[in-house]
Amino acid sequence: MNAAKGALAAVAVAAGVTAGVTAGAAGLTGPAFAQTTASTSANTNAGPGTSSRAGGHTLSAVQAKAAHAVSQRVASLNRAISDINANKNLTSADRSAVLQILNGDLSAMNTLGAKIAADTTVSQAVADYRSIFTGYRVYALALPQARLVAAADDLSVGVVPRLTDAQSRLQALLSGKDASKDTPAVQASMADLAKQISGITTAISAGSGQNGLATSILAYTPAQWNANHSLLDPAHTQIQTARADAKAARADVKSVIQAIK
Amino acid sequence: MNRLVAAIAASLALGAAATGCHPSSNAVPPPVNRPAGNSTANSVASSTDQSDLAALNADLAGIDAATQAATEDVGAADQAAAENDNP
Repeated sequence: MNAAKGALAAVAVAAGVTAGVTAGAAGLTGPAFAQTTASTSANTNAGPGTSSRAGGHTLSAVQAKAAHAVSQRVASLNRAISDINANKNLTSADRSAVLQILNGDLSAMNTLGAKIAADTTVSQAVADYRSIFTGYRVYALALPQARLVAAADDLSVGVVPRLTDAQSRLQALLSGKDASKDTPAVQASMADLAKQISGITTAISAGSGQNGLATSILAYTPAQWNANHSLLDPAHTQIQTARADAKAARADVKSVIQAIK
Repeated sequence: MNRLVAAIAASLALGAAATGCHPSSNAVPPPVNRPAGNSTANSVASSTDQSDLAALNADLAGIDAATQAATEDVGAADQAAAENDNP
């Protein structure tokens, strides 16, 4: 994943002005530098210095915007890294994979920020500025990836084992000393509990492996997001479904506990 | 008379010694090898119920915490995705 991002960024930086054209063709219509693409072609050889202009932007203006964009991303990435490290539900494999993405982006942002600050032409600065977005998609992809994987593990590691433990304990009680309390309503709650646990497991296993959803989310690249801005939507929906199932299952456990008290 | 009092006192002391109780104490001696009755059985059942309930309540607390964590993580994902990530 980092290799793919690095390659993409390298292409964007090496291509210079062309990267802007490519980004525009990919549907990027943000206002900040959307109109500089054509004019940067004519200013590729613009001399160094803050007075150089491309589409009305000076080098210093591009560098200032880049510094702001990098600073925002660095702060957000650091917050996410702290949260991921503190999350007790993440599997070690998922934590490692998420941190690899976040730390890779953090390092890339710092490198890119320094490079843009040292750029001497507007066209190069604009191309580098664009790669902050198109090469990494920190907000559109990396941070949601990290958080959705954490949410998937919250459910698969934090919720499901406790639900199955409660299910076993309740079943044992209802088969033994509390058999007299095994009413049709209790049986309905136990049946629904089994259904909800199955629903969560199915949702977070989507894809491959026991926690296939997290694996699928982690595999997405900025290039894939650039081509499909709805890339994370199915995973988001799966997690929301699993979360709703967890709440319903919790209500089932609570109602059976009340019944046997 | 003094002999009679002494004899009674000696007799009481012997009885107290046999039950393990000091003659001047009103303490009730602890039950030894008392046959199990309903009271003991109820106390064991009650203890098991508390243990089951404690485990189930711990499960509920863990489910709540992890579900809340998932909610916050999805919220953070949505918040990040809402940021402008276009040049």
